Amino acid sequence: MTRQEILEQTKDVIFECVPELEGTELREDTVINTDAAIDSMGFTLVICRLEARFDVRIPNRQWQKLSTLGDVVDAIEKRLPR
Amino acid sequence: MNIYQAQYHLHNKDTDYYRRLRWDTMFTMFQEASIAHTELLGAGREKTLDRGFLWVIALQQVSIRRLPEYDEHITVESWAGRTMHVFFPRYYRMKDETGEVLVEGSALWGLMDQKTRKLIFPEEEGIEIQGFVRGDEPPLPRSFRNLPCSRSQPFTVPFSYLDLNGHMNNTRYFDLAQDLLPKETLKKTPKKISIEYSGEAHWNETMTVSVAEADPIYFLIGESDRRIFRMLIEY
Repeated sequence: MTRQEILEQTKDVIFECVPELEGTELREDTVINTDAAIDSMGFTLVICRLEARFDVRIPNRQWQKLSTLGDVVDAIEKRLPR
Repeated sequence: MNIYQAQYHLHNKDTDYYRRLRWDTMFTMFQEASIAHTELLGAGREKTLDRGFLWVIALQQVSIRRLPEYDEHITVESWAGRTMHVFFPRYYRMKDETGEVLVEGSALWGLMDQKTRKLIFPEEEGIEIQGFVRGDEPPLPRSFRNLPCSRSQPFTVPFSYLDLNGHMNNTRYFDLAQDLLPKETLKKTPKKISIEYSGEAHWNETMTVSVAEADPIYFLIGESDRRIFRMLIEY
């Protein structure tokens, strides 16, 4: 799976979990883990759904380091089988 | 025990003006099934409440085919899904005496630290619930869009709405919602109710509750200095 594919699917999941964001532009440098973008509960839901979508597990401790959309894509890409 | 079951005989106190099961009573039954089953699964009071961790609901939803009526005998089933980091998914089914499914739904529960009021990672605290895959689970609750609201009014949280967690109980939001719906709408039974609990509502706190009416859909949002809840009711 290419990084672009991961990015697009991640955006789909974000829009499903946080419908208010649908239509907004999300770039890799968009900070998503804030109350301004996605609150803590919404972020948790997004990560859980992404783990199910990609069949990966992102350790709890890593979550605090995920700030931008790019960080989330990195975390998924790193854990996908090569 | 993978699937918890409880039987109820609906009495006067359980039913509304139209003799149907009250919404808050329905969600109370689901709540009680969740807590009772969690005790049996080994994540009960000793591991949670007594350690300062409170069970809270983040999202829940139900699909209603028919609400049972006064004097009916019903069965409530509940089972736990696989834990999702901080969330404990839980599924529900309500059946009548013939076994027909009347209501089914799901909720995402979490454990909140009593002091910090933040959700904890249960595995870090040695709290684990074995999830069970039945194969015909109702969908998990999903978030939903805000709708433009046409009216608002204040609501102050009374003492009678509080629970042992020190905030407005999750079932009381349904009383609040019904008291804001039009009279003609209250005659009908909703097909689906979804609710997202974003923040705690405390004793004597005043929130502004806004309502969007786009029959057959009603949307409610409660806010004070932060969002407290959102609800979507589909008829």
